Amino acid sequence: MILANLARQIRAFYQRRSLDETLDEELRFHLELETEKNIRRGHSPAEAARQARVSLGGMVKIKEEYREVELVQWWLDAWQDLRYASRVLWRSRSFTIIAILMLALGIGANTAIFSVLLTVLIQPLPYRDADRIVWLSNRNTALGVSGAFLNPADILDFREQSHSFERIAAWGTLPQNLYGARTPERVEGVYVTANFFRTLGVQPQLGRDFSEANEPDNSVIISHGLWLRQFGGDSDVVGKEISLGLPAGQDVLKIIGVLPAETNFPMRVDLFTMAEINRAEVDRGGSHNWRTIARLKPGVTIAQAQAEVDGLARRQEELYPDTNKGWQVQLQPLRLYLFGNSRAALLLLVGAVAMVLMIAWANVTNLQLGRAYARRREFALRLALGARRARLIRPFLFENLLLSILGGSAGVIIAVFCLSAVRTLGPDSVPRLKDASLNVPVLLFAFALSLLSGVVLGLAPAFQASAMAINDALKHNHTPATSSRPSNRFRRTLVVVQVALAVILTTGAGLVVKSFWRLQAVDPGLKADGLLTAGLSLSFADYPNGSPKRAQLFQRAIDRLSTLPGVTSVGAISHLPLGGRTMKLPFKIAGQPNASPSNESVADYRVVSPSYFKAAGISLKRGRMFDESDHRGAPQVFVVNEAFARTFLSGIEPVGVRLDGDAEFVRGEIIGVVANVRHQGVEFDADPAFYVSYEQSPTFPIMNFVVRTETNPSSLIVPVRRELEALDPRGVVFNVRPFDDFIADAVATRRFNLWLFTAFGLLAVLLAAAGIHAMMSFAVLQRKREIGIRIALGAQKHAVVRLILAEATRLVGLGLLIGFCLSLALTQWMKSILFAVGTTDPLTYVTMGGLVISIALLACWIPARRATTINPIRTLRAE
Amino acid sequence: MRKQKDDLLQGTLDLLVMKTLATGPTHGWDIAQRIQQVSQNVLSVNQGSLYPALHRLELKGWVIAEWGASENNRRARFYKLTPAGRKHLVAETAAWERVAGAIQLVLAQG
Repeated sequence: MILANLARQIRAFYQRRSLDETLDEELRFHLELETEKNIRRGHSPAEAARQARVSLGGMVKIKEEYREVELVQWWLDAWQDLRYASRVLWRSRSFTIIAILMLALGIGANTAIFSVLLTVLIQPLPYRDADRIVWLSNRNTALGVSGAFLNPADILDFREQSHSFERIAAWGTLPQNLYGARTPERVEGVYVTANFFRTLGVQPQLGRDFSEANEPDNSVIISHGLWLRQFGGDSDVVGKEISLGLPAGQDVLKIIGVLPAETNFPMRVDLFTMAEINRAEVDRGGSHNWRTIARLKPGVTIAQAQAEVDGLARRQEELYPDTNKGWQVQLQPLRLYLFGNSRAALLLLVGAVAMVLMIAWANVTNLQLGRAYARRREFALRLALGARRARLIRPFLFENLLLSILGGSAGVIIAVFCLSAVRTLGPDSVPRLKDASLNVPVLLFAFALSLLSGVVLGLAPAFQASAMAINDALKHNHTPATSSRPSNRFRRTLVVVQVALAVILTTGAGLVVKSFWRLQAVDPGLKADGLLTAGLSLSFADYPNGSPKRAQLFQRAIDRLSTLPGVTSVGAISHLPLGGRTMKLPFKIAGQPNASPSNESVADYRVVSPSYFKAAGISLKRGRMFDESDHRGAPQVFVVNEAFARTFLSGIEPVGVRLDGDAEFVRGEIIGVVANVRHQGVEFDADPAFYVSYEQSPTFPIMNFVVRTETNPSSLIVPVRRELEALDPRGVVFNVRPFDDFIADAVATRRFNLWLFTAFGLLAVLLAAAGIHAMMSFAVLQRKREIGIRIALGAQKHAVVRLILAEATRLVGLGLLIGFCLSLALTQWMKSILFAVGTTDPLTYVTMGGLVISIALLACWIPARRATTINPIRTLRAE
Repeated sequence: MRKQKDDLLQGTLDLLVMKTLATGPTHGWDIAQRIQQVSQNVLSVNQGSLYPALHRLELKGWVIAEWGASENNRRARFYKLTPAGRKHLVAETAAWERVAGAIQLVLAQG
């Protein structure tokens, strides 16, 4: 039906193209007749033809006028249609408001998500030729390792032997205490190779870059943010000295440059010190601890570079089988490395909002078709009076274009609210998310989407109006007794499509919700309620390695915090769970065959106070915890977690096993096993870990205190900070916050996904329900006569309701079926954003299907009830 | 002569064309001839502007054009008044008569 119409439209279009030919033929005919007339009057044929041409005038001029007539008429019609459209919209205000609202929701959501997509994924990184920067990572299939950092020896090999790269740079992270500026601060620091900023393509805004030859060791480049915060944006900052509180010789740094504001690499880093990799110092079998990027030479593709690096890695395997066996290097665009995690979720959101808009389109189209039906006699009359079909179609296009532009404008306002919500609710873990704003490209997108909406919405009613048979509408001036017209079939299709889309969106949302529930139910391994954490970072210079002063100060801190009112117990740990840092150390199990250097055992190494497990609420599984007997000088002992016992000591009684290793501080006896604590993130299983008492370890000058309180932990933030600051003049206190905050941060991205998908899912269901409601109300109106007759013949109310609901149920059921099938296919893409829920989770499907059915049938219930109130006498008399 | 033709106002030409078509469908040349005949050659239609005028009426939906056979069996484009055109003609004629009557009144008094 629609296709036939389309064909007719296309034919009409091409017929227009032949207008010129028509005119030519017509004018030729005219000239012939005029010439004959002149001959009859006695002129010679030549003279007769000449006079005919004179009286007709110039052909070119006529054609010009002809076209002018068309143009003028087009504008006149357009203006008239626009006025007509606005009048019509004004007359049916309730329809107009509903349609604008639906379009605004659809266009607004799409605009907001587009803005996020543009900012996070599409906008180039703030580096010169950023697409030439690649991220290098290590993979070892045999060891099950992927995404590992690089070994420094391998980096040097690649630097010397590869030809694909302009530069290869590497860095590692090292938080530092910063003294010598306004206030002591704990800053995020990195040590980078001298070529780091040239590889990245960044120029300091102030001062200079590291020199690639003979750069003094104590040079430092600072971030724009630190410059403003600690140096007041003073332009004299270059050349100033700062202190890190390290032992003499490495303590004092000289600022040589300040980075531009937009360089925020890779996350928030404030301090860039220099560390060159030297062949003499690197250990081929050592750890994979350098994060590595490279800049491709112009014209070199990532595939070519990958092929070259593969070859080099194979050569390393042959030359150094002990250390390099099985290790491969993987190249990926830096952008993908940084944003890869957000990509899947973002693209899914794009799909979700696109579906929301489609549902809105289907809704408005459905409403428009209903209105077109109500106006069918008007159109039939106009057709019969000789209006051309094109003129009949255009008011629809204008009306919908007007609606869409209004909807788009309202949508932009909605997008503004959405984006401000994104800025406040959005997780920090998605880079650049908070920069999403309403800029020119986004506005253009909204405008384009409005135009597209106008065209899409105009199509169906326009075709319907143009396909209308004049006689049909005029002759049957009553509504047909049953509703089996093709237009109804189309509207029913729309309802099925809407239900299907709503089912897809709600099952998707359901899976995300269930993932989040599963995540919330995860036991992090410690008791988070009532736990306050606070970090204390001492100066290395004041508390050198091996000095008993460190443990003494930390013990004093624990004692003082314990006396605070409301505090029940206090412990300390070097690496706070979910704190984002960890340290892995290699070790051996005494008595077990030595593993080769390339696959030695590594586990997380944590230094704790004896009171830590009790304060954090970590339960003991076997053996004992640390106590006073495990002091300095006593035999070295360890507590391991269950993951450690399961991974390295399966089938053995862990307590009593001795650990061995190159470093002295990994040699000792296991005395106990504690429960796993999720360290990397709530969703990641705990890695094997071994704990050591800070009495027996060359402890870190940094400790995180865990303060168990009887009250709201937030109320103790101020006193805890005060107590810790009073301990040491150069001690920097940081991260004083309830442990719940860390958990909230750890699940922030998922919570954000939860909000978005739930919102879009709900929106989809509500829009679809509105669409079904409109469709069924209309169906009742159309079948008024039939229903009237049934009631007159004695049909019961429930029979009438059943009659209406039966049709609705068929449509909803079909939509549900199609939606489920599509969901099964589409939710495959959601795998990466789900947690502990299969993409075909039956419970979610059943629940969400039930939800959609209930809301849909509820939406039908109202028109069905109305059908029972039809007064048969009045209805039949009205015919 | 030429000047006189140009003086024929656009709306007037449209009205004359429709009036001519009111008696039945016909083609462009015939319309021009009839207007001239009926007005006893006082009004001479600029034949060149007749076709744009016909097209304008067509676009407004007042006439429709169809290909047909002329008296001597040649292919010609025939114009026919639509119902809407007929209605419009009645209205326009009435308006014209009112204006013409008023002018006549003014002229008679002067």
